[in-house]
Amino acid sequence: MITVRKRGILSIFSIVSFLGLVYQSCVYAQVEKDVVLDVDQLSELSLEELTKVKVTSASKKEQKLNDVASAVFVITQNDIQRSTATVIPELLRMVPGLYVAQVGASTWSIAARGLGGVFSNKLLVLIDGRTVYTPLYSGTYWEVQDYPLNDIERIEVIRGPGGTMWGSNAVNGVINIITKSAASTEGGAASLQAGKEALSVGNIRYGWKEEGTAVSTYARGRLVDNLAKEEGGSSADGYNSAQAGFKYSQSLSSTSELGIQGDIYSLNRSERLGVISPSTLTTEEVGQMAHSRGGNVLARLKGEGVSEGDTATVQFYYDRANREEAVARSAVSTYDLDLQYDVARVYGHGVTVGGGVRSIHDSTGFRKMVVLDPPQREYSLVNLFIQDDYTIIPDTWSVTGGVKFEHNEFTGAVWQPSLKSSWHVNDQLQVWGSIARAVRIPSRVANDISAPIAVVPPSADVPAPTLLELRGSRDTQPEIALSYEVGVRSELSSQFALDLAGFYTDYKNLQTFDRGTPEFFMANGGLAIRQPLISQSNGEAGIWGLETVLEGKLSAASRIQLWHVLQIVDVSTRNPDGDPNFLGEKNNNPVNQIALRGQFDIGNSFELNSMVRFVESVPFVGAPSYWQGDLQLAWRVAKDLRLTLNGSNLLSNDHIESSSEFVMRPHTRIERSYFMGVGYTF
Amino acid sequence: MRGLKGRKRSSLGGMLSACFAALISLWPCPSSFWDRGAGVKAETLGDEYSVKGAYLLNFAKFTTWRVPPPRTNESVFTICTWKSDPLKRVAAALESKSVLHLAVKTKIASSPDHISECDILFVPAGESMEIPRIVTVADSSGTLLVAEDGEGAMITFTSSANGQIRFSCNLTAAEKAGIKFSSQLISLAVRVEGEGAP
Repeated sequence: MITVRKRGILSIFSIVSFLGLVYQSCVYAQVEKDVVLDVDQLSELSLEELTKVKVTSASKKEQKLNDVASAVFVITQNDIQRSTATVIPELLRMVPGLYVAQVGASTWSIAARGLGGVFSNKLLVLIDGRTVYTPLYSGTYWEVQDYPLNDIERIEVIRGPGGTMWGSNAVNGVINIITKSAASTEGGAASLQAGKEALSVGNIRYGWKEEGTAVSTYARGRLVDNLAKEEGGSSADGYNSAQAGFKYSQSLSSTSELGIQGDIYSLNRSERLGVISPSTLTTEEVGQMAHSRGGNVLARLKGEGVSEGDTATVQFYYDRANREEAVARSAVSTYDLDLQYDVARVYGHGVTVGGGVRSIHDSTGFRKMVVLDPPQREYSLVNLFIQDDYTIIPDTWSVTGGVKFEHNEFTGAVWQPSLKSSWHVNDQLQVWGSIARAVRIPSRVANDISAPIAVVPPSADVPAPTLLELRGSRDTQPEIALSYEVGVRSELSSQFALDLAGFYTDYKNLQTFDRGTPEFFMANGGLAIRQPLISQSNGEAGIWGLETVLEGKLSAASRIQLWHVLQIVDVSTRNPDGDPNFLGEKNNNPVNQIALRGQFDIGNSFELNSMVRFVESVPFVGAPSYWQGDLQLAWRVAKDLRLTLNGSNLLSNDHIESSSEFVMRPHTRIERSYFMGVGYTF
Repeated sequence: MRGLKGRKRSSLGGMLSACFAALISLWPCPSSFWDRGAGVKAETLGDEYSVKGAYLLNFAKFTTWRVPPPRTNESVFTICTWKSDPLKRVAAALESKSVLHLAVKTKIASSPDHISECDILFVPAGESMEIPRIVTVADSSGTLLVAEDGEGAMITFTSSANGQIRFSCNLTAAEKAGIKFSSQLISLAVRVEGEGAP
């Protein structure tokens, strides 16, 4: 076994050294070399010479997003300030191609490019380079992914596969939340939002800086009222949360920096849901408080590599997430180490290599419904990647190729290659295309769950009551997506720009829950049938779509953005007895979505910001089509003081956006809300 | 049994590794394939903030201020950045230079009261929404406001599709602060707004 492991490691090293040799031989065969100038040399150039200098993109991740061969949308701090959002999921409503639906006061269903739902599991979410999806079911608990919105620098949303750079789970998209650095948050800032529906959010932050050192701290609290049930009455899902964190950065030299940051949080929410008792075959409505507590600490060292212009980054984080819910209890610890090396661009090649190790320790406990067997498990994930961004014709044609190798303990090795190309026809027109393979590795739930989910009463065909029970299986395979994308970015005039992206994704091995052999058991003094629904990989899907974004800068004081997204989802199963719409991936995304956003300055002190959106019906979750609108009037009272009046979901008293597919929870009505905001810097 | 399994996987892994290495080795070398006869010229490259720092020094040479530098008792030319400091990495190099026979000094302006001490105020991209409130202070102190993006600054950087950094000028904004640009600077701007714009 040891020999085998050694050989494995050796072969990885041999690949890396072989790649190095190939790369070096390429480099040294070239006669003419690009010249990278430092600021000393650059400042000796004339203004005209400076206009010809090209900017090196040190890291793939820092590449100008407008130039990449992917469908990218960026929410800037300006967009954040000029929206009525109070939490991150509300901000994501402005992103074309994302389907954001509020299920309850603290529960969200967010997906990119189809196959969404509360347990949506094909979207990778990162906060400052820390992966925040839970390994238990590969989805994101959005209610605990919180941060003071004013301290977010930007949110980059990449639609489409990102497995080559970002790793497993980046099947349909990546949401990359980047918070402001410690150095850029000097001084104090406080903000408060409060209004109808007892919504209140408070943030405070203070940062200071000395020679090469910057420290920043923040605290945030939220109090949110219950929403209303569809049939009337309270849905009993209100919550309160508190979060605090810090950031520290230390400049070690002119090219290297150490950053350490951390957060802790606590969230208490009331929940009410139907829980099945297998012994009595009854569903009992449970109302109780659920608690989520957790924290993380991350350290990142970035410096110059072995050659001038190279950049090396080492990052480590520890994340702990505890949940106490009616159905289950879990505690997950994640240790993650990542390395990335960006080779300075030479001869048109910008090479990035890297790798990482993640170790996950979870401990789960039976509460009322959900059991994971074994209750404790440790598993790890190892990855290596290489990517080359190669300029074939300078200023015109570039090709980016890369591959990520990942090894996980559930299914072994997976490969995620991608090939992208971008062609600048002229300064106003860019055309791009890509082919990529992305993988979602089976979650802990898919492997190990056991949970009763419904009781079917006796009928003429089946005279005994039937208990449907979800069961995990070690046979669950990695889900594989092969995605083809093309896009056009065009400046139509000095005022309007168009961004078009079309895609087709072919999915194999999607997770399904197929009927196993029924078992008889005694319940309530009579005979009952237990029907296992076993996690399998029989699902297939084809999804295509078209995303159109038109941006208009009507004047210096007014901007608008109009987008339309079309998604056609076709899900099927290889199992002849299987129902593709039953407890597996399903068509639960709207076919059409439209949004119009406007940002207008009125004089020097006032702003009017608005968004109107249309979401078509999603029959699977019982959500009808709806139009909604948000409006914000902002007044910059003084240099340090900004007041806002906000209205959310103004176009009707309330509406339904989605529901949970698995857990029996009532439909909730998302209500119109008004609130006032005040922001003060000192 | 375990060992056998491991060996099997390893040989499969070995084959995959070999295929992977072979595939990657086919990735074109610039000298051996694509560039043959294409005559790709070497390029002059610079890190983004090194280029922007060099621009700031250059802008000074082509600008006339209502309040000529130095502004303080010290004989220094002061380049400020608004709140955050993306120029930190190049600050030491900038401070080794001189502009208009004055030693360069860099500092962070974190409140509007600091702006009057700045000959040039650089507003990083993350802070561009603050330009409207900064610009009124810069006007009264006659400070040259250079922004990374956004609207309302006297000079705003832009990125060309070719990966170069260019800039646009707003002559109306400059005039309000009593700042004049030389025709050479104006001719190199990708866009000129305001009175007298071509």
